Amino acid sequence: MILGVDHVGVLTSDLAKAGRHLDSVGLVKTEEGTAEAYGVACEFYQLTDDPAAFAVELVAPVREDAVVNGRLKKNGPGPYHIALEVDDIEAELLRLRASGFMPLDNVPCAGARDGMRVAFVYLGKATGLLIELVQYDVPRRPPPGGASPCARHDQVASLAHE
Amino acid sequence: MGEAVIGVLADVLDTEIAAVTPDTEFSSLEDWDSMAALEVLMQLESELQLQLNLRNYNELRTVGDLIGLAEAELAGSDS
Repeated sequence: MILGVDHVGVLTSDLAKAGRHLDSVGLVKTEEGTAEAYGVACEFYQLTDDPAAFAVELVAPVREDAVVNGRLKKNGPGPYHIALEVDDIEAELLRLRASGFMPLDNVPCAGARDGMRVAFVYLGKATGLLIELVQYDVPRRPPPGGASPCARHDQVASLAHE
Repeated sequence: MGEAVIGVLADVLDTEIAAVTPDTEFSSLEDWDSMAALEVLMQLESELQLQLNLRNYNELRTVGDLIGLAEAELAGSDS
């Protein structure tokens, strides 16, 4: 199940300069890390430090065989992928593959945030979009329409006071 | 089968059908990259109503290799 839009990935060859520009716009860097499997450094910029807030992820290659190098050389910097948080990444990979879309990863890899696993899927020429499926050890968003962990906590706290 | 595969390749790469033969190596095709490879696979699976093994697909070198893989998959799904 898709829990929400987690972030948009933006490819850059100049992480520092791109970060300063996002900072000037009014976003703040909340997290950073390296995705070793892809050979990239990532920085996450958000309006607030709420883990569930939408983020812009700056992605920059850190080695010659980084998977994004070809795309960066061919297309230059710019939007690179849309990331969706899901509650079962293996199941979502199978679902999208069965729908005719193309996974770039046979199995999920460690992402740039703590407790994050990711897998990329190509949606085809009509959109040219790469979708990054993201699953966190601790979900950052509640299921759509479902009770949030906070709401559940409030109910328990309320009962304890009765 | 060969015509279908070559037709998809020519369409995705926006090149003449005559420029693609079974002996053509993917790496020699202009504009061939990982995204083009995924688009070819996606269109081929849709057109031929089959699902190819991604690992096998990624190891292919020539257009003829791809034709062979698709033929084998179709033969397997018929049996």
